This record gives sequence, C-alpha cells and structure tokens, in this order.
Amino acid sequence: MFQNFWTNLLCGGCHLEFLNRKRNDRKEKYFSDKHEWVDVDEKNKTATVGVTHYAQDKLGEIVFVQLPEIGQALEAHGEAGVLESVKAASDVYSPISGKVTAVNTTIVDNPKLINDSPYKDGWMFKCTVGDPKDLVGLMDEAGYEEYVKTCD
Amino acid sequence: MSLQRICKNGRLFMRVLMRNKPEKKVTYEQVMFLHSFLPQKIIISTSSNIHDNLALEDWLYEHSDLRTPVLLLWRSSPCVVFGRHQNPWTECNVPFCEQNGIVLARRKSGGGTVYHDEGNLNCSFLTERKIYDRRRNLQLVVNALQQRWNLPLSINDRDDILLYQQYKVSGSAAKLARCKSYHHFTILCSVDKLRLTSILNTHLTGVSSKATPSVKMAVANLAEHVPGLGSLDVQHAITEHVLANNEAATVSYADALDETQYPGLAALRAEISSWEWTFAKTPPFTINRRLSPTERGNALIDISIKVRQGLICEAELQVLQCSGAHPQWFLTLKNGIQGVKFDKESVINALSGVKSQWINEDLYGSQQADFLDWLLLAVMQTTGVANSSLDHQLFMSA
Repeated sequence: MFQNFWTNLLCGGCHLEFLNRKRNDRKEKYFSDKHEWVDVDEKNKTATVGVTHYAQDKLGEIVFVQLPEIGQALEAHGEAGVLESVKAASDVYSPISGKVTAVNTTIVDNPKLINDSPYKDGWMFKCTVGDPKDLVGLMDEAGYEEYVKTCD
Repeated sequence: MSLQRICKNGRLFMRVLMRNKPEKKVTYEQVMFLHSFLPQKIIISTSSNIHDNLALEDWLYEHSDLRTPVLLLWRSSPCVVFGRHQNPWTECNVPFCEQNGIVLARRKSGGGTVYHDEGNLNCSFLTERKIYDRRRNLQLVVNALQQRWNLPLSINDRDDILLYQQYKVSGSAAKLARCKSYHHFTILCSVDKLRLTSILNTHLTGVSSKATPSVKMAVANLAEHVPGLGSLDVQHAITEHVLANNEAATVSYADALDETQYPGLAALRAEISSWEWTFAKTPPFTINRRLSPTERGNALIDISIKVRQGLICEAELQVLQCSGAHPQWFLTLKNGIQGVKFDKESVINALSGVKSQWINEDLYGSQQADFLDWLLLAVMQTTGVANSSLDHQLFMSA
C-alpha cells in the first residue's frame, strides 16, 4: 500500500494523468512512420487524418496550415498539405489513398489547435478509403508508441 | 502496481519529461566530430537571377542523392523573396518593385520576407531529413567568418545570426519533407540597407489575413565591422573553411540554364517565375477601407475587397453617407471589379471599363464627374496594386 502511494505520487499520478489525457483524446487509430494518424470509420468507409502529438511537438508552434482541396485525389504516402511552424514549411503526407471529402477550416483560422489537440480538434482532413490494403502497412496505437521510443 | 510496471512507467515518464527540454546547442567541437554532416558538395551558381537560383535549389532538392550533403551558394541581383505562405502586398512595396525592375519571388520554404542584392550571399544546406539541424549549419558559417575576420557574431533563439548581439545579419528558412530537407539563409555583407528598408514597407493598409507575417528586426551588414567586406569574400571564406575541414569536399560551378546537366530545370524555373505561383498562392485576404473625399465632405463609403487565389472574389461597397448618389454607380462598380485578376493592369482596365459603362448609361454627368473620378481612384488606391503618381495619371487619362 505504501509502495502504491509513492507510485501514484511520483510516477503514476502525473504520468497516468498525462497518458489519460492523451488516451481520451485519441480513440482507435492507425499511425504512419511519418507521424500521421488515420481514424477509419469502417461503416461509412471514410477516414479522418491528422498529425500525432510527436509530430506537433517536433514542429513547434504551427503558424500556418495548407490543407488539400475538397475532391483532391490522394495517393498513399503522397503529399496532402503543408504545415508551417517557425520558419520551416513541412510537407504532410496522407497515410492512405482516397479522395478528400472535408477539410478542417477551424485549424486554418487557428493553427495552434494542432499543437493543443492533435488527435481531436486538430484533425486536418477527411477522405474516402481508396484501398483498404493501404492500412496494412500502418501501425496500431501500441506499435506506434513503441516506434516513437526509437525516434529520438 | 508491480515493480516492473513502475520502472516502465518511470522510464516513459522521464522520456516525456526529457522530450520537453529545450534543444541542446551543438558546439563547433561536436560539429567537427560529426564529419559526415559537413557538406560534401559545394555548388556555386553562376546566375544572379533569383528564379534561376530558386529553381536550381529545387532541382537539387528533388534529384540529388542527399546522402551526400550539398551546400549551394548564390548571389542575386536586386529582388524581394517572400516565404511560402506570405502576402507580398503586405510585406513589400509591390508597385515600386514592379516599376523599378526588382524581381519578386516566392520561395517554397517558410519564414519571412528578405531583400537581396549583390551584397548578400545565400547559403542553402541540402541534407537528409534525419541530419537536418539549422544551428549546426549556422555555427559552421559563424566559425568560418570568425576565424577569418574576428567578427562578433552570435546565434539567437530564432536562428538569426546577430552582429554585436543586436543586429540581424542573417535570417533562416527551411523546407522539410519525408526524407530530405533544406535550410537556407541570407548573409548581409554589403547590402543597400536604405533600399532594403524602403522596399520592405508596404503602403497597403486595412488588410486582414492569415498569411504568416515577417518579424522585423534592425539589420546590419558585416561590412560595418570589416570595411570593404563583400559577398564574394564571404563566399570564399565559407568555401575554404569547408574544404579545410572536409578533405572529401568538392567545389563546382552550376550553370542554371544548362538543361543537359539539370534536365527539367527550365520547367521548375517557369513554375517559380509564374504569376500563379508568385501571387496567386497568397493566402486569402480582405482589404477594408473607409473612403471619404475631402471635397465632398458628407460622403462616407466603406469598401471591402476580398482576394483569393489572385482574383478579387468579392467586392462590397457600403454607402454610409452620400447625398445625391445614384445606387447604380456603386452596383456597376462592384460588378465591374468582382472576378478581376488582382494585378495593376487588370484592375486599371476594370475600373476604366466601369467608367465607360457609367458614361454609356448616362450616369457620368459633368456634375458627378469629379466625385466619380475620385471614387475610381480611391478604389484603385485601396487595392494597392498601383499607387504611384505616374500610375494615377495614366489611369485618369485612360
């Protein structure tokens, strides 16, 4: 019991709260090795795409978002947009192929949403699932967490 | 909770904590040890045209094997270069540049607007993404300059190189892709500072936009500390410094017009110099102004012009006060400029067309002429595409 108390205080409390905050935000997703996530709605065959917490952290404060056009055809791992953080313009890639059906205009007005809520309010665009086989090469949440540990 | 889980969570927690620490500065000694990060190929462009050089940089970025890091050096004749997501009309005096042969160019990296002339040296470090490191590149150049001329230089948090810890002599920008990157920056050696300051000021007011704004700072030339220092001297210093520290490095000269050596370069150049890339890529913006002629004291008109993808996509005129006004004046004017390309020639032609239409519809009588001429001029000034007295004279006589 004493051990549990100290665990909560030193490691568990802060850490679990951090993990929980991330987990509640995240839902079930697939992840690419370039730190994009894709959330697939199997019933409606649509996907939502954004960048991960690791990506936004590495980019720093995002000051401009360039999203794809609605109707634009995307290739798996092809360019889908640009995020500009302090002085650097970074290409964003679509983890899957498909056609863009919606874009998140809120982040165009408030790019910092991607930093503050990368898995929820900071989603970038929605698209159709062009080929379900594109998902095969992607990681699940646990796999991505392991992968991120090797990145730094 | 088991001990194993405590340790695993503890490690993960510490990793998260460490990740949020500020980036470690790379010292020169560390750079020296990281030999493989030094440029292997130094390429010096023989062109002074900014479109040629941006296209060459783009070509190297797309086609070179960047496992061999490249350092591209070039100098430009007078031009203004703005960042990927910037608005040229709010960053510089576009009409002045167009009238005085100062080339305008949009680059593909982020960051702010800079003025180049032959007194500025541009350095572009093209590398694999995994070894992208702006501070390391800047540190290499700072050390090259300090060893040669004992210049009091430092690098700030924004990756600007400062002279006397105060004046900016270099500004950086970068482009990052999946596996490759480039970091490029200016070095102000002996640039015409007076011209720089006057050009990087806009006359356009009332603009609201999401475009990335420049962060203005006081600038200085290296020649203020070392009289007579020019961009060619700095180019030699950097080149020799890299060669001295990397025996495998080579130097070559690039002719940006050589399609044999750089197949496809002409197409890149055509894209970079096109109006569509330079101006139509500007993020959407709106200009709001309140117009009031001094001679007709009671008139008060609000004008709103929205520009998207290089076209005036919406124009609104709200007449708050104007005795004796005919509503058709404003309707014809609004319809006449909507959909027009946002450049000097197109706007002047559109406004001339509006005047012709007023005349044809008997709306332009002798009593209204002064006011209507003023209105057309005020709209033209609001757009900011033409604002010199010469443009106005040309317009009024059209």
